[in-house]
Amino acid sequence: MTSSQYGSGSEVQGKPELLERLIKDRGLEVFLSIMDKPSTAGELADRLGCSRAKMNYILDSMLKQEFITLHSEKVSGGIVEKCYSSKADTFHLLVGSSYSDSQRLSAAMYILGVVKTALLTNMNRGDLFHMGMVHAKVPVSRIDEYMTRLKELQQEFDDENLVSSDPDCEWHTLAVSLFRGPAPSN
Amino acid sequence: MFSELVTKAVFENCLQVTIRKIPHARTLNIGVFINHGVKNEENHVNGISHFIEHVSFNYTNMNSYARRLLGELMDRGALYEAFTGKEMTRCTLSAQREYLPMMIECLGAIVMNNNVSMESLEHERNIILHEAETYFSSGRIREELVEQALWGNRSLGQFVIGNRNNILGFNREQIEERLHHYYIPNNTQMIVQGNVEPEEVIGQIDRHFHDWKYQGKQKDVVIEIEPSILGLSTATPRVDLNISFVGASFHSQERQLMNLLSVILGTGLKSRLHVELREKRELAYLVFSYSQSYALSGYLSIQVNCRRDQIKEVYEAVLSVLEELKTEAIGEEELQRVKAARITSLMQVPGNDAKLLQITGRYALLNRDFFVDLERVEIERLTAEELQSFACELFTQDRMALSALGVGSEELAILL
Repeated sequence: MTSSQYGSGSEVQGKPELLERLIKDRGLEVFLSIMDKPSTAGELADRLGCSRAKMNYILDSMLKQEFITLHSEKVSGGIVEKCYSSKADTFHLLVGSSYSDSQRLSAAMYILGVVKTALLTNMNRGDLFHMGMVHAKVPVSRIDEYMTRLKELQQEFDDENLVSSDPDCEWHTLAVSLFRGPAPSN
Repeated sequence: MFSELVTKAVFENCLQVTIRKIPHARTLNIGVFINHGVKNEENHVNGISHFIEHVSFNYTNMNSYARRLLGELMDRGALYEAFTGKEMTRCTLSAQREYLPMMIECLGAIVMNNNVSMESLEHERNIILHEAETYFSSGRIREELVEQALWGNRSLGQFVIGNRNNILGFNREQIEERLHHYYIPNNTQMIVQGNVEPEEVIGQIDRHFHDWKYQGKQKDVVIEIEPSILGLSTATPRVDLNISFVGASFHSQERQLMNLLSVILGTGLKSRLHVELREKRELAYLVFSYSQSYALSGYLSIQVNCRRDQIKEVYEAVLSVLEELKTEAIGEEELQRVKAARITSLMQVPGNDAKLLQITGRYALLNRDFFVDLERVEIERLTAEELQSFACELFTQDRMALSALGVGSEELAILL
């Protein structure tokens, strides 16, 4: 895995250093929240339990990098309120070996956090979900093939998004990973 | 008994004049305050108010008539100054009483001249580019960072100086268009202050400003209140950290409460921040707070000059002081002390001609008259309960912005 994308699968490419910073600064949560619906800084700060200053700082960084866009401006009593929307309709976070240790660590921590929260929420709601982890001894030569198949599965899932305007569609997350696991101690 | 005598006049062309008669004054101070500043600038013309101030008010660029008058006045000891702020542009002239007619004639010649030569434009561009290069090391930059952190890069949040690209791009048409729309009598307040007879002043103004024509309405001004984080790295090991809160606008009833909270926090050796951060914790030498109110918004800012590696400690110490102010009642002794301190500084204003002129002009632009005793009474009426209640409203995360000279935004963002 050598690619990294932050934003839409086709248009938006993130700079690695910014990606790392945004992950640390809750930027991805903000991004996902804006993808869900256009929001003002105040709404996002309330929704994500974050200070207004931090939220505006994150939004400003994302706006400068063109990850998000200004959706609308409302003027009331001389005071302007901005509403932001996402420039993307899908979201990928793929961090591969070409990234620094700290970037990969940031991404891993973020993904783990999202997976943990989402799985627990799904469990509480009784939603359909799959959770699995297989730890097995596999020939190294087969790993490339599994990697390719995982990417294909990921791509297939992403392609589903083409029909996302269908009212029967709902947002789902597919998180896949393959990594060298620990050897059993016995 | 102390009293203030002010005469107001509105001329046919809608020029408004405030004449403040000060019988004991030995100098005469006159200011022309134009309701045009950074608040009137869109992003792509940010800096144009300041540029126009240079082009219009610099002695070198004046037409021969204005130049001759100002030159003669300066030869007789007159002091001349021009300034651009967030809400206004002003030029002021101070001289001895006997020069009243020439001073008014001179200011009329300066302000009513709308012709911009290419030569003066290029001359000022070069000078402003020098000014821009020194701007970031000037004292003004901290305040600019505070205001940009509070209001973003728009309206009052923009820097007065603008940016290099804008400065390089301003042209004669843009400047003349602004002069035509904003440098007009119905957008101007004139203040005359000294031992003068109002009738004489009115007669002189009528004579020299008579040809200044009324023009149409200006664009509405808007502001974006989105507190954020803004840091500027420097090579020094020290940081000027500002913790600011969106506060009361000029016409808000809470303005005096905000001013008094600022005194409680950071004015004088007994102020809470001074005692806590400097005397108890030895975290800084310079600790203070100040408040500022514009027509559309205002703020209270706390500034601490500290070591870079102690920012977090300083930030937490400031928050703990604010928390105490919110949760514990303000004692009577402290309340009386800060009120008296505020009133003392207010009473110093009439003794400072330049400051009195600036404040009177600013108030006039905001459609209010400045009288020491009216302000004093407003301060005296404030109660400890009102202060605590406003502190609870003001010192919240939703209103807070962080800015610093010495560290970048990323380093500041870690604090939140």
